[in-house]
Amino acid sequence: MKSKEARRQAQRHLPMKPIPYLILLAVSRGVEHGYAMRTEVAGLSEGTVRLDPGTLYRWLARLLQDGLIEESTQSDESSGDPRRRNYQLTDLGREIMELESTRLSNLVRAAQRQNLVRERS
Amino acid sequence: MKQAPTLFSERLFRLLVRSLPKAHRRRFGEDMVRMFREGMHRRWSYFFRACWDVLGAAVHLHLEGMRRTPLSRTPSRIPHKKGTSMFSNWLFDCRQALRSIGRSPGFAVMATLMLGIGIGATVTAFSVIHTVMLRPLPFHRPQELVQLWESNPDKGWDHQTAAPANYLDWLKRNQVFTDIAAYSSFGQVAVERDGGATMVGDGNATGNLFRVLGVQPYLGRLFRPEETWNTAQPVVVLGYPYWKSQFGGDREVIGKTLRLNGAEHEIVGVAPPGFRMFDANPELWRPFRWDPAVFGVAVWTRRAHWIHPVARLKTGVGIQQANDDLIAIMTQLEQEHPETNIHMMAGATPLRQFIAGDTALPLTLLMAAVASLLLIACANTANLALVRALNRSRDLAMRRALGAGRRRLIGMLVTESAALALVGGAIGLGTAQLAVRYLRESGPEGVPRLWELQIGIESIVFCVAVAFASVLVFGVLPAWAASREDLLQGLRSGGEKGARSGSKTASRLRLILAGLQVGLSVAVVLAAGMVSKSFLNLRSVDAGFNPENAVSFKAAVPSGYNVPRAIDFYNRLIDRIEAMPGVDSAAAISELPIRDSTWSTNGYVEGGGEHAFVQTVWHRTVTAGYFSHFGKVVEGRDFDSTDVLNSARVILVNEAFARAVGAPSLIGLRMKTAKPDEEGTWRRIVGIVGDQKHASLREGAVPQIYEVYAQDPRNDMAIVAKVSTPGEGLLSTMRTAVAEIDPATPIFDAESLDRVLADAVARDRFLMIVCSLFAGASLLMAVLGVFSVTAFALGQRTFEFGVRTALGAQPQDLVRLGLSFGWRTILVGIAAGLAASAVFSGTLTTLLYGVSPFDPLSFLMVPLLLAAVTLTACLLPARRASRVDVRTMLVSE
Repeated sequence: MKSKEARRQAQRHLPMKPIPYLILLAVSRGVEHGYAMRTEVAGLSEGTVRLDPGTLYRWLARLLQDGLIEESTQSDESSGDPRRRNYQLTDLGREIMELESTRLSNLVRAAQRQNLVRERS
Repeated sequence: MKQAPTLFSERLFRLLVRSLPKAHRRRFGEDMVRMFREGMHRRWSYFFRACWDVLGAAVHLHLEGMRRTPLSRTPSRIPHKKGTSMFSNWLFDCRQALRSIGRSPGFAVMATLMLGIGIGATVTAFSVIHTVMLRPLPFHRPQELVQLWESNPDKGWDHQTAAPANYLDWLKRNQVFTDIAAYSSFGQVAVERDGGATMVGDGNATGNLFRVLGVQPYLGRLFRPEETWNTAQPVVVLGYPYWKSQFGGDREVIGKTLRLNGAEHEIVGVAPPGFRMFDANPELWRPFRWDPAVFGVAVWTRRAHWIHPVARLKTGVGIQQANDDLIAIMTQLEQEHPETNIHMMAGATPLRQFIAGDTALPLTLLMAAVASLLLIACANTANLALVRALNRSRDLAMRRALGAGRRRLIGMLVTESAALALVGGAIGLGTAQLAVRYLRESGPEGVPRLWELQIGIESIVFCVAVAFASVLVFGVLPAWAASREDLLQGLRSGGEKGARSGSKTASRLRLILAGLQVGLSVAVVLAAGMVSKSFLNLRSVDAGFNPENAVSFKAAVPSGYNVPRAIDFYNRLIDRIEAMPGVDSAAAISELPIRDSTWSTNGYVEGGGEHAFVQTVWHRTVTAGYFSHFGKVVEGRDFDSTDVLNSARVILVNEAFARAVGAPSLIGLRMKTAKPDEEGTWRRIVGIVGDQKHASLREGAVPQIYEVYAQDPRNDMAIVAKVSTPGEGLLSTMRTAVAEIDPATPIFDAESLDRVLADAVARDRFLMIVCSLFAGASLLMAVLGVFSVTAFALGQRTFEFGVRTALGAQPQDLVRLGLSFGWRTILVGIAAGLAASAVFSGTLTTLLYGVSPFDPLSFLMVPLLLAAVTLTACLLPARRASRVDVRTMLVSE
């Protein structure tokens, strides 16, 4: 339930830096672990952001600490490795994603009105 | 391409993961390794990125952790837990080190200053050595460039300039060089512009010089090979600084003409910025413009040796092969030209090595002196660090009691030392930068490539290495000694008492360090003493002329003068100058003794007896009266006004020439500058003059001959004047006198003859000053070291001294007892220093003048000086210890 307090708490995390935003985006798409997250983020950013282990897990630790993601209680059966840690968005994380995405979308619309957005070739 | 990651890469990655904070590592470590493994499946280059990324993450996480835990709230004594990450420990140690050093600002300042001076001197010396001896020359593929030279044991020649005809034969016949160029010793040329003339530095070379060196023009073009010969039009290449200063950097200068020595030269190009030929930096470059009908044909072009050939080796050809090829060519030439090439040899030396020349030894001595200074500084700092560590024996004992291992304690103490070394290294680098700038702008003559001196990446890396090494000396050793202190003793006593009751290991280490300082000081002071004595000997050498109140300037005959007019020019000039108020006498000489190089020839005296032929005789031209004013006439007469162009040919010889011939008297005999069976102009010997130094103060007298200017006119002469009050005003008046005779006369190189002699010993003076500074600094630090060791050791024996006093010992007995402690260390240090000096002093032989490297007086006086000074340093703590108050001492114990 989106209370005022929850919304206020979420807004404290805005604006987000690109890397944690992309990580949250990858998690929200169901990508759950390590190297797959790297691949997903590279794809989402069209190759401009490549996450390596140090950076990725540093941000995961921060996101966990801030309560935007949590470790999943389900083991990853697809990898066949019960030790592998998986993540999912928390309510707070989802709230922050929505707010941030809206903010970015508003910015893009404003830029489009000024014809500042290049068409993809 | 899929590659299985190697075990090694994963191990290395795991090691780097250990740098992360413990909690983070425990939680995510395995995930990170797994991710790394998957990445390595895809690409091997991923390894470097991943490792670098982990280190960056470690820094971020630790800094984040520090931000969350303010320093002020960090307990000063945190129990050391096993298993904490290496990086965490290191960060903790850094914070502790800063806090600890902040509590002892005096120690920190002294330690960093001592280290800074030592490191700065070492880095400066390294930079000089690197520039002079190691740095590649600024040419294309410099390792392929070689300097060619000639030698002849009969004439006493070694690594001399070459004859043009021989050079041309090397060019035609060699199998080992892609090309050979040549240049001559740099002279001057009269540049006529704007109605006046100035002399500027002029470089002459073959047309292929720039091509052989691989130099590209900044503007226009450089020489072409065919411009070596006078069949091509005269051209000139401007040096970059000259182009900027005299032509305002005008890019339209190409194609314009410049009048040089009366002839028009087309400006074809500008040399690139920074281009220099070794120590000379001529402002203009001109090709030789040899006459093809003469050069390589006329005998004199094979007899006159005055060019410096530079060659580029073919790919794959080594220096030995080049030398063998040259020897083969010279063997052919010896058979083809026996009149000039008997026993004439040739060789090649790598160009960088040739330029460095004989500076290797003095630079090595310099490096040894600075290294000694640095070691002394480190030893001093180590002593201070050891005392500090022992002062904290209770603190260290507490940490050990709480579980810290010896390695952990050593790491903590070494981190403090590393912090000091870091600051000391920064101070050293800054000091070195200043020193390098000074040397580059005002360094001594005779040290090649000094203009390239700078603090480059090699010097910075060396600085870091030296700082690291100094930490090992002054950080690790004292830390190791302090960590061996007895745990119980440390807990009981601690603080200053703990320091006083330090272990035998610590005491022994302090003694060794003090002894090391004394020993090194002996070696440095000895070397400085001998170098200083050598310099003083050189300064007192009789150059054969009195430089007092004598000034000189050079004046070139204006272009277009014929011989009679040129002779009249100098006669009028000397008369005009002699008539000036303040001028006692004036004359002229073609090349100043010592300052200017001249040419050599043979000398044959008719009726001169068994040794009538002198192989090598150095030639100069003087005006009438030169030796009466600026030398001495030993026998016969000086040149006078009767020796004119059309009178009988006359000549003067010096005493060394007369000794070489050995005839009872040479006056009135005829001589010629040729071999006995060769054609030559006969001249009558009218006088024997005193020896004047030819090229250096170090060399003995060499045979010299002098012709009179009226019979051997030159294009430029050095006017020498004896004045009653030397000064810039008088020189300015002389310049006016020259301009009144002919305003187109360029004059240059105005200086006093005192300056000529001073420059002759500039390198020795520089070495003396530097060695003396090092000796002074070494001695001071050794005295400090001995003082601190003695004070510390006697402080440990306060109780004993108190008991002795109570039992009736007199103060002088206690002083003697106190001194007896220090003198053993001093004696051992002096003995070791003398032994080291005896082993290495032989290397100084070529540097010294009039001093043996095993000079008995130096070997006696220096140890006595060291002993006196260091024993005096022991006296103060000994006297203080002898005045112990018994009651106070007993109460405190």
